[in-house]
Amino acid sequence: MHINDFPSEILLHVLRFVPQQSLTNSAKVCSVWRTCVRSVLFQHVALFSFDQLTLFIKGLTLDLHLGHSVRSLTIHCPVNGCFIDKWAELPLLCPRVQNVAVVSLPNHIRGYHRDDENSRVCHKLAQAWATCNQHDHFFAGDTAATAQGLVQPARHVSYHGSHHDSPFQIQHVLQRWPANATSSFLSLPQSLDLRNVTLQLEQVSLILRHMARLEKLTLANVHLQHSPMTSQPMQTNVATFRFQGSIDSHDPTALFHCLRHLFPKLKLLDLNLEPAPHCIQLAVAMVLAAWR
Amino acid sequence: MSVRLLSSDSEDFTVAKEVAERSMLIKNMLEDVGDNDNPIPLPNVTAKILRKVIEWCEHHLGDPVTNDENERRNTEIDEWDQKFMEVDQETLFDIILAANYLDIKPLLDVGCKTVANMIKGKTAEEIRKIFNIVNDLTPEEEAQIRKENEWAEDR
Repeated sequence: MHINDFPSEILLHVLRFVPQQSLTNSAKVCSVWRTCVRSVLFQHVALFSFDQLTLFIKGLTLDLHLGHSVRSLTIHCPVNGCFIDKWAELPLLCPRVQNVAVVSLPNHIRGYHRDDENSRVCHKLAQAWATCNQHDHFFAGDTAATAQGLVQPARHVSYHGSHHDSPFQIQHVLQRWPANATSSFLSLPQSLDLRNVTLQLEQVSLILRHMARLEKLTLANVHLQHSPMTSQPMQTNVATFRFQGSIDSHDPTALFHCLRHLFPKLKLLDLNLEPAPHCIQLAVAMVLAAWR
Repeated sequence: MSVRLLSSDSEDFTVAKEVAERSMLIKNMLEDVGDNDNPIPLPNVTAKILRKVIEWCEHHLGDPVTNDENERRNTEIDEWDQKFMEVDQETLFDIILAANYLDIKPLLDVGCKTVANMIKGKTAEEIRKIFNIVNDLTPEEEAQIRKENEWAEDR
């Protein structure tokens, strides 16, 4: 019995327990190992610097099949003009990526792209998220790319602010996006997860108005401010709404009635208020009773 | 209650049912055939390897079954398993193949981790030597592999 007589799934299983540094050596053992190492090494990629990102892209361009193994991509890298140019190359090189994460961005985020023909490059992209050190644009960021229909929509979108009082800027971003791009991008997400932001009720309404397919909305560590809302009836499909954080309202009963108005099809409501003064608890109880 | 297992070289083993049921393959077979006294044939496992597998299953009888991928990814091997896996390479590979065939995931993981530990920290040449592998890569291919994987090199 020789190790290369193993079925490939067993050799792959062995290689999954080998640390990355040793994997690169394993790739040089023989052609069988090279093939197996490729799919392990490139399956879940984490990059920690711009230089590493550059080398990664350089490697992918040597053999265009290499990037087909990439399923998840995490990049910890400050963003500048050079980064954006490199970032733009990735969707074509990693067309089967399912999860993209960009961590610690100081300024700007671009979405994952389609190519300039009409076919989607990253048709398997299911999740994309970004954590920002400073106030930032919403995930899909780049106006020019969006205008050309290049932004790849994602089914699950997250935005993590850096701290509790980061003002959420979706309204600002929405106003900058051309109408057609906005609808194409925002029509797809089914779940939205916003964390560590200050959010006005009107912005929640705006999100729901634009993200027509949204079924699940999670607001965590959020400071929700009561703001005037349009009285148009909402046709939202959100079935699950989870809220953890604080609310700022002179009239909590009115606020919770607004929420009820926003989520006509709600099936699961999970509220975790902090602090929860008596008047808010009362309002919650009243609204929950009405909701049922 | 006990179960009879028949190795590929026709050796008959009688083991406790709960020991045999560490193997998902045997568990499913027992569910399908119900209670009877006929031995379960295991044509892919020799008596030598089946004896080792039974020893492992008896020792780990009370272990909780985990489907947690992160826990399974843990590369540590407990002391008893390390000793258990101190066998020649051929036996180790046969245990891995048997664990795969019998669908005993924790034993498969321990076997694969043992092989992974033999690879860890070694150069390509050292790995070839350990496993008696012939290098069939051309110098051009080796150069390309180096460039492809440069991003993943420790720096």
